[in-house]
Amino acid sequence: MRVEDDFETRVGKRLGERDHDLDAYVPRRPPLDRLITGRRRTATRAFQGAFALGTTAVVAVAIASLLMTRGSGVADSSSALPSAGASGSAVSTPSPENTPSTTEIVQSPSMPIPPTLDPAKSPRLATLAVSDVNANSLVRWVPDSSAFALINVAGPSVTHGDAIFFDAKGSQLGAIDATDIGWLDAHNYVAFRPTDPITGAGTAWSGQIAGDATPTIPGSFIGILAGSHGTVALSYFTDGSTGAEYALFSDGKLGARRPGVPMAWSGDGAMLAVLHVTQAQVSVGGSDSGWIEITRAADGSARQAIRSTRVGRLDRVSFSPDGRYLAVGGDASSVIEVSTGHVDRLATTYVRSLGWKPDGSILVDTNEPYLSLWRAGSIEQTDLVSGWYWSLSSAGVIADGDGQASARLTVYLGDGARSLDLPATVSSWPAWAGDGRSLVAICEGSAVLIALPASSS
Amino acid sequence: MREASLLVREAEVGHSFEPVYAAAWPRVFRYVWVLVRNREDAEDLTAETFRRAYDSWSSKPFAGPDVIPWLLLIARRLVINRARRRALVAWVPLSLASGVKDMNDHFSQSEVTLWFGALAKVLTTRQYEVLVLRYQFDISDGDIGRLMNLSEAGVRSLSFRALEALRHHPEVLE
Repeated sequence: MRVEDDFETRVGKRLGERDHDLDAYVPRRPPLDRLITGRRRTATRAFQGAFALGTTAVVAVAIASLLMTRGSGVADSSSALPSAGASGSAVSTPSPENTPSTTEIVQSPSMPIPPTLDPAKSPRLATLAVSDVNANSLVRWVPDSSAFALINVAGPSVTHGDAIFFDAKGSQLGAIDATDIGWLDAHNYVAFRPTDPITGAGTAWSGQIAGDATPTIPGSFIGILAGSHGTVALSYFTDGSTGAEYALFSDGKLGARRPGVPMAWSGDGAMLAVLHVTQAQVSVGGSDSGWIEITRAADGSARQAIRSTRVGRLDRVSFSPDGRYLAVGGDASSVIEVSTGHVDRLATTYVRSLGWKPDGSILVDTNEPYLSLWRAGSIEQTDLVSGWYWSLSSAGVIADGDGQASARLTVYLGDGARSLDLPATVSSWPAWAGDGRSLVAICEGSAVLIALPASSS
Repeated sequence: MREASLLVREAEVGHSFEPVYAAAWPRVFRYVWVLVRNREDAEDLTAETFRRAYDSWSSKPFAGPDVIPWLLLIARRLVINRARRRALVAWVPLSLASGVKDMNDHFSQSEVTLWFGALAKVLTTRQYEVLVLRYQFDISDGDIGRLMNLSEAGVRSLSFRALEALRHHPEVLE
């Protein structure tokens, strides 16, 4: 039985009153039959049926079913693209083809469920010396995987700062006052800290892990995204009426600004994918229309691709290791061939995670209870593992051990599966080091560095 | 709150999902909204919660003593999953950021929204959640423990710390 003091009673009473206030804003529930007969469910059932019977005919039905649902699918990546050069910048490449190719979907025999390995060969865990880690904490590995920054945390030995530097073994290197970090190389960073609590706008500066920070970079910014070869993009905020811009830096120098929000650099730092938003509507189920632009850092030339009415949901963007393709996840999930602008649709449901494999194929995690593999224009369904949450990389796959957002993770590497028991429920996507040998998981209240077995790479 | 629980329990007797859906929808929505404080997200996540619950119920109807903690657990996992996605979009422009895009929405500027925002500001995420579950939704410490992956003692300890933190901000309760 709870024994409540006066203060506790007051808190309970106030929360009860507020709960009553909230009742006025509860939306009407949709009819149950409409709720459960969505596109996701139709596709899932079709594939489950195909698996159960295992006949070519049924697989064909499942494929047809999915293709039909794809037809009604995501965003309008097939729409006419807006004209480039809204910012007055150079546009040297032609518009991409707008029509996605018809991708064939087949069941993959190539990725059987890996064996569960000897627990003695499981990854090693190291809990980092930080005390205030939450779901908003971020991990930023340096490009060569020799160190990482843990952001939006505090540590027992840290007297200032929200960003703590660690080496690859988990030893603390230092801390700074920053809410985000972009790495220029293994030692040099660009940091950001908001100063206006209303708009989120703030200041940016550069520095070294073991060294002094340089003076603040002129301007007022809302975020950063660093490339790997001395190139960095900074979201530049002007004011509420004109929206956000970003400044393209090359070797630390201020470059031309373009409207848009930087999303991903190619591995060699030569290209930057930028999100452009043309309209922000305010409504239930509303949409933000816009497009993705691929900019070459060397000369500022740009190519437009993927027009969507839901660009606000495009939050998985990455270049292939060789820079040939750009994968876009979210609501308008597609693969863009950079040289031609050819668009190939990935999925019709929300893409939660994308992971490039060394052979140029992509692991795709959607709202479906299976993993898909995109390779050269076709999508294959895989039965690697079932689970809700994934963190994909070229080195392996992570899923919740029981598919239920628990404190147990299952790590699938090239040679099999391993279970990991963490201190608490994982509250943020585990962040892989670039070399695929380590990752950091943000749990509720702690951060864990996971070293993968040497034999697994 | 009590009434909703009773309705849900009565609905369970018939092992039909629809009465559970009807009775529990408001409560699950309120819980999700308190966590995400964005109406559109809360509506999406609540619908997904019941979709998943229905899938599970179809194969095996829930047999526990109270279906509400089970539904809240599903909802909480979906909220965590959403937070994982959001953690990767730090550079989404202001106009797209959660909580900003519906600045003109009456609900987002209502007193209740501002009040929960102020409460969340003075507490850690887990302190905020444990207070909401314990005092707003009247969930037992055991069920809160299962929801938040804590022991009952851990729930009480976290709740105590949350109340202590709140004592330093009496203005929030005004």
